[in-house]
Amino acid sequence: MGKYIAKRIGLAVIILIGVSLLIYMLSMLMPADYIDNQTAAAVQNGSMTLEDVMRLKELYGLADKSFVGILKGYFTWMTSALSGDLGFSFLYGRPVTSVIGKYVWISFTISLIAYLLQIAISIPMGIKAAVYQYSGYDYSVSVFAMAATSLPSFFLAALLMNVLSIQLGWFPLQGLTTATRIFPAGFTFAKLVDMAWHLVLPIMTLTLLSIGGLMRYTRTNMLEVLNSDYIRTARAKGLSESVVINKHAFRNTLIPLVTTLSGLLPGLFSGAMITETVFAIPGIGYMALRATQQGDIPFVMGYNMFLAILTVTGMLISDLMYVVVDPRVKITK
Amino acid sequence: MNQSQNGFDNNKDFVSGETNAQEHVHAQGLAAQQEHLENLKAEEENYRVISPARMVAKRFFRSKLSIIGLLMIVFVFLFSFLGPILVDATWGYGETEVFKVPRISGLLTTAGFEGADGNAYQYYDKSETIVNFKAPLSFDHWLGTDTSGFDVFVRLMYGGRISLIISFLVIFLEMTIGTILGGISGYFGGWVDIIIMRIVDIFACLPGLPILLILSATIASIETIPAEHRIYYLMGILTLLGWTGAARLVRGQILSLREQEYMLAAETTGIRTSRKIFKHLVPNAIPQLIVSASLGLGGIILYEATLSYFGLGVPFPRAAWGSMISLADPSKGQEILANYPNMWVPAGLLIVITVLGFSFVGDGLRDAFDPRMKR
Amino acid sequence: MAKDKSKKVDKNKSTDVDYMSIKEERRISRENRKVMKQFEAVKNRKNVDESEYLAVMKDPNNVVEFDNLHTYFFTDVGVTKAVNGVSFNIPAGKIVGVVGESGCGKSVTSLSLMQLVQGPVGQIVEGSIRYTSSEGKTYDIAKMPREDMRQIRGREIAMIFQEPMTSLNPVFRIGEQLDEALALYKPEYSNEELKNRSIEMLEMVGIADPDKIYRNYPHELSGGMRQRVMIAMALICDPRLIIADEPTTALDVTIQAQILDLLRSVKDKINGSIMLITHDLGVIAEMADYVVVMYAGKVIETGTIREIFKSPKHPYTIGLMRSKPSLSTMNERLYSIPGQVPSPVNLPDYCYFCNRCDFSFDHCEAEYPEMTEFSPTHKAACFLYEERFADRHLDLPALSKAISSGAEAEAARSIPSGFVDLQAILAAESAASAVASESEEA
Repeated sequence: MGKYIAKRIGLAVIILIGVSLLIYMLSMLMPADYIDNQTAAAVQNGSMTLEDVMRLKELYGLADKSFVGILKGYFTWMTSALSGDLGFSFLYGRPVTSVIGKYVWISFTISLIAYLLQIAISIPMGIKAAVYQYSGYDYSVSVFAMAATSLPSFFLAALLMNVLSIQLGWFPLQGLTTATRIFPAGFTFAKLVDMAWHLVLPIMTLTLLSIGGLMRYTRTNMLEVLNSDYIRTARAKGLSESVVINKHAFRNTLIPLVTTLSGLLPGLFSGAMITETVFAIPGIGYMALRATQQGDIPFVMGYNMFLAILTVTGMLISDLMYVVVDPRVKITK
Repeated sequence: MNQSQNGFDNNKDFVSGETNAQEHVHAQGLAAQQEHLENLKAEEENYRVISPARMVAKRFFRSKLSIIGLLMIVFVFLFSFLGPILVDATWGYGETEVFKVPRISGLLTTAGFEGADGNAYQYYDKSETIVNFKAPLSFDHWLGTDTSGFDVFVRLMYGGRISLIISFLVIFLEMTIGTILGGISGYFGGWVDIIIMRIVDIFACLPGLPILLILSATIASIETIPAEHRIYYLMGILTLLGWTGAARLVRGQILSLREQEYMLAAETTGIRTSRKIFKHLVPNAIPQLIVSASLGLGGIILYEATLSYFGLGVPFPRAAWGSMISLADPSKGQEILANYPNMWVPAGLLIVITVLGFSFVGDGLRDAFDPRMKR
Repeated sequence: MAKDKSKKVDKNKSTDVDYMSIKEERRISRENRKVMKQFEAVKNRKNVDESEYLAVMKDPNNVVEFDNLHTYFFTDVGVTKAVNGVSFNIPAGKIVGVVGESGCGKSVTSLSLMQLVQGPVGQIVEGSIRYTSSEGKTYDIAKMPREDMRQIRGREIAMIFQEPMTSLNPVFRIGEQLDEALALYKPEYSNEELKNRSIEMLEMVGIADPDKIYRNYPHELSGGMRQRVMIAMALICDPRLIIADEPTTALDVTIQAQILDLLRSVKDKINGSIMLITHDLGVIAEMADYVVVMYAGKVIETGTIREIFKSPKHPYTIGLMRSKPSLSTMNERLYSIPGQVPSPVNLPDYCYFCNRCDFSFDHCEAEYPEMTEFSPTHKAACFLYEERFADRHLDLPALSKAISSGAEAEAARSIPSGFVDLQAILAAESAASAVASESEEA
């Protein structure tokens, strides 16, 4: 077991190194970085020379764009990254880690609630669709699930905003708090309610987009289990249909579900770039999009690295959960 | 003992066929065999006349959803490829034709305020202006015109054309690269496999959307690339981020097929390795590739739309579904989101129809290729 | 005769080659859905009065009487008649072997008895399955609602499946799966009692270390061990009838013998009946008291083990006997019945076997034969034995030759089991030598 974990972690580290190198190179490709953007005016009116700009860039390790230069820059970045320093965000004027640390929680809250809703809605739906395969319920749920996954998130968001916010006026349109209301600093209940109200539409968007996939996944796995011999055995024993489905079939369906869903957990921190942007929620995704548009290379680097770590951690958790949940998997290697 | 002797005798008789009796038995056996073969043949004629391709087609068309999906795709194709030609032939304009449709736009502002005397007053302001853009639906412009005076309906056609071209080219490139690398990886195994699969892992771990945004921003800013050509680079980027799925699929298929006997038979004929991989192994993975391609098309359309939404896809004034929806972005003002659904809802619906159509067809194909996988 | 056959084939071609259009398929599946819904609704009823499915046995000595059972599968290409009018009995305390090629409806018959036919596609559409419970009541299982059927599954009729590797739930321990079955039967048992009884059962089926196995997961056991566990699970509620659906097919030869021994000893212990389904005549010869031969969803011959093995009547049964390898017929090419089982979707309205039969004559294509009775227990469905065709037995010499060679093959093979007495063997041997000399003469 220990050896297996060590092997998986070793693999994860190799992947991370590769991903970080790629991301670093791609980020360096970005033509106009923040320094260019900020100094352009100054260069234009002559208060700064191009040499000054280069010196500034040198300071941040962005000057040398040759291959060797990038490699060198990568190693410098990597060594400081290993000590927990992801650099300093130009745009936000703070260390990258602290920007991520600050904005990640609102993203996490939205994603977590959407994740829990997604599980609560789609797993029972998927199971019911599988149990009543080819029924009207099965067809309508399947079509609904596919339609939901076919929606572009920004279009769904626009539709929800149009109907629920503008026409019906049930929910606020954008932002995290009502701009015209001033809340006292610190935590108050009224502030929490206001924020929750603002988060309804983004959470609804994320949930609607994700239930389709999970529902179909549940249905597929459940169907496979329901057609297996041991379900027939369970029925032959005289067990009631509810025990057959809720105990024997469900326990087996849980294996792939738990491994997949646990693999998604780290991703909850990654932020929903499009949804957050459309709803103007100051989450990590929204911040990252702005940073990307502004050429804030250190932040872009740090954020992408953060995402890669989340992905790899998710894979690792999936692998480990598989061993934990399925009694058939024995670790020999 | 007895057994082996018998077996030996039998062999000898078979070879020499000396005695009459044995010959007779032999002949009888042959006749029986002949008859059996005839029967088998007859049976084959009864049961196995349908070619595999026809069988797949038959199973595909049996499902209602597949047919609906196919109809949706045919509709989108006709709309986006035939549509522009018809429009160009009849009216002679395209996606970037500006129509100034003047109309009077009335604006009524009211506000309540407390006057100096402490009473409440209502304030009205009624103004009328002439607006040339954002025309409502009319016979000339079925879905009106947008903020720049472009005909929305015509732009939908052109947007669809670019979306479909991109998605098909990208999926083709993805499948090609994936097949080659996956095929090599699966066939050779060992170090080759390990290296290729690690590369696949790395690419699969790249955060898709942020990287796409970075790269498209990069391309948008390189002056040596004309805006017209940007779309080709975009395809390259989409391919780069998407080929890993096909590679994994082909590798998995080949790993399982490599162990089968017919490969041993191919081995003994001494054919070239490349032929072995791409003639004998890869074709077996083609059904899965087709299915994953048709399911993947929708994903690429969504990606392309997202990029256009952020203004990083097809450059303005070219039309794209994503950029048409971005008119409704409330950060740019609520006016269009609230009052002009004709500008953005049709584009969104077309995206849904296309993506849904590809999913239905992909699902239908999967069930048709392998009924056991029916789900 | 060859000419004859090609004619038949041609006839088939003209009817089979025009394939169904999609429209027609749609119509079929629409109709199927309607029919299936009706059947399902009837099966899913709750609180049905017992009198609706009470029945009376024809012979009180039987545990189960299949009477004209029809189990159909409503597929998109048409109605598959998997079981098409099956009637036979399972007497108390006896082993009834059901034999036939794969796809002949053996398994579906047994699943019908358990109401385990994969719904909603598969449905019992006609006929009855009468079963006398341990309380002495006789039920018609074909009419029983699902809810009430649960009382019979497991505790009255237990089933052992073909694939021990996949028939146990992989995520539960062996003990849990055994306890669960027992807890339904004896709800008053404490956990401790359940466990003790389960371990006792494991011991009874010859598992050496039952305490350890009790705690194991299925994947930690070998195929043979799992089949023992399955048998223990089947026995745990003292059922009156055990259905063993090809219990040894998936196992090694050495394990097969052990499992068969176990089944036999188990039958004596519980004093119940066994319905043994197999395509292996050897297993039948070793185990069964009565034999039912099935072909294309119908019973074509039934009889005691002696009757079937010593004087098989139906050409199909004879063919089956001849296609069994044996020690004494080394020189001959192993016989195989030509052709295939007809497609169960478009069954002809005449004898299903006549296309493959060496002894068919013109009337075989006119109608489906009735059962001809040779003794109170021995019946076969073939025109060759019907009185009205007594003058038409053209091929009788060849038939008797085939029978003798089949019987001889069987005799040679079944020496170890001791079913066939010495005289029979001697008779078979003389028959075999007669055959040999005959062929030499020719």
